Amino acid sequence: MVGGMSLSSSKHRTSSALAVALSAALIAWLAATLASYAPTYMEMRGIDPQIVKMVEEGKPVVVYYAINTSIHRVHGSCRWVVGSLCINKTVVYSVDELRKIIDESMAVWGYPLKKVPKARIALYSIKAVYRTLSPALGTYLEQAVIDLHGVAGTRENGSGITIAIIDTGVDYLHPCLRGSIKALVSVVFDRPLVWYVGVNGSLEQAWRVDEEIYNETHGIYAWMDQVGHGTHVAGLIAAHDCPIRGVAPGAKLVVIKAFVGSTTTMDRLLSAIDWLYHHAKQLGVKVLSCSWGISIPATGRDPVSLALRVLVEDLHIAVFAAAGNDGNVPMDIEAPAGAPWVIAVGAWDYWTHSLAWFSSTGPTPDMRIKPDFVCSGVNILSTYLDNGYAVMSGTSMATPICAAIYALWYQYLEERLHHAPTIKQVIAEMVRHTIYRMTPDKNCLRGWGVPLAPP
Amino acid sequence: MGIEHAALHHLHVSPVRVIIFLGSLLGAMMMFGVAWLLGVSLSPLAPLFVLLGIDQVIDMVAAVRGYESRAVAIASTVPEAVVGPAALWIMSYVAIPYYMETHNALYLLLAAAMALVFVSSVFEIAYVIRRYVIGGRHVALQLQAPY
Repeated sequence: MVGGMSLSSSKHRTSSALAVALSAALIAWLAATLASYAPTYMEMRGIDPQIVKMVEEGKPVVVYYAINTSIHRVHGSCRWVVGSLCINKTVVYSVDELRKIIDESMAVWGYPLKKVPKARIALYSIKAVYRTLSPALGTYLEQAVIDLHGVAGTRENGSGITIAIIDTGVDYLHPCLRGSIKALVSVVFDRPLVWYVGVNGSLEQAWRVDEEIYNETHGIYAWMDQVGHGTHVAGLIAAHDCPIRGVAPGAKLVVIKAFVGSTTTMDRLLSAIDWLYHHAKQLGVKVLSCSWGISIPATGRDPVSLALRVLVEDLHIAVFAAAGNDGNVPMDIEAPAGAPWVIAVGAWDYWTHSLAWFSSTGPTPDMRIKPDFVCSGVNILSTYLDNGYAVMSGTSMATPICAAIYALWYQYLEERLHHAPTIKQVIAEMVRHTIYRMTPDKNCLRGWGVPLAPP
Repeated sequence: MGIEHAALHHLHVSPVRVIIFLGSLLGAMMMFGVAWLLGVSLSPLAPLFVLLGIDQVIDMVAAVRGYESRAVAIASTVPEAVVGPAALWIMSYVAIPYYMETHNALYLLLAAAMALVFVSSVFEIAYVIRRYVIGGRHVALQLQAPY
């Protein structure tokens, strides 16, 4: 009996020791796993380990880095200045160089020399181009925007609101857009070229200057749209006194040309944001419409998204960005739409009463719910090059519509509150007035649903 | 004997262990998948999800063999407080809306899998609390009291 007890106790001790040993091994294993997967100093700052490996191998890497000038002193010049952010770009060849940059910067992003991501306009397709437009066809096609978003019944027209557009420029001589353009900006050359309408001269004078620039640069206009995308976007916001009307025909436009073709570099986008930051107050810009996207993980951890954050936080400009046209697949939202401070816009198909099949959907790779809204984006009629009209599809089309609805709500609230509303107040009103919301809460496909114009 | 007692009794039988095993298997896949996605976007949260994935593997083994000790049982059950809600979140914010929008049966399958992960988390927490924290008889007596 005693022997049996002793045997049982010894057995128990052995099993306890085994359990302790197993637990210790388990904890050691977990700690080792944590250590091996823990983000390194470089990863925490957005540097891909592959990039670090490339630098170690002596391959050149393009590095963008942002210095917070309110904390660190800047040695040398800043290529882009957005608020207290000084953003620079350089090519790094050694790990020491990379470490030096990391030590001085608040954020660093690295890309292989030949694979620096480019932004692409979020246009899905062009269905038709009309030189002249019959009123009947115009009225029929206009339903997708005017009827769906309840624009016809609103008293607001966006007057007093300035909307900035970063795009392919604009056909500023189009009869539907005359009187809407406040300033034309170009960042496609080394320095920004600006034409303040009425200060520098008329739009016809701008065209004469533009033609000279075209001849000197062998085929690139400074402000004139050569793709048609920017003109379409501008028409959706502000077209007036012609067969079609925009959502906010009383709004003024500041059109920044950053795209020559359908793609552009992050450098040009940063130049556009830099210019906008320094002139937005003077021009009274309240909204920014970005009908383009960059195919990188949309977590807001890229230079363009960071620069846009400063616009939102310092200047209270509401930034709308196209979700992308990559289909209804989880986690294909593009940057900068995926950033938490940017309002991501998906496309809604008015004609089938469903989400457009090409519209990118959330969640973001870091598990946030995007898009925020869906606006009409399939077979949308608007202005086009050479005084024409075009029917286009894409989240590109949905973005300016949502931006213009924001402008209408801004005007509506400003009139009632007798002071400028905050972005949160305007968005809260938009959220309260949506249709086609699938779930009571925001979801990864339709966001808050299709926003309506104010009553 | 109350219904609760019967349910607790059934926690020892294989169907519950099967649910915990399958839920942990799917949970491990989900956690490693999320960790991979977060890793691609260089999120500092990625290692946390790797650990949660490992925890799910431990739970799978435990569903078959039992836990080695009370400490291991409790330690590996605590992360269920993250895994369960994460599964519920994916089910209600991703799988069901995607199914409703696209009518793709794969999303329905994902929703069912996430529901299983959630149920398995609840079962596992209940099992470990009953077996290793409070003690079966004590709980059974407490639950019987109203009857």
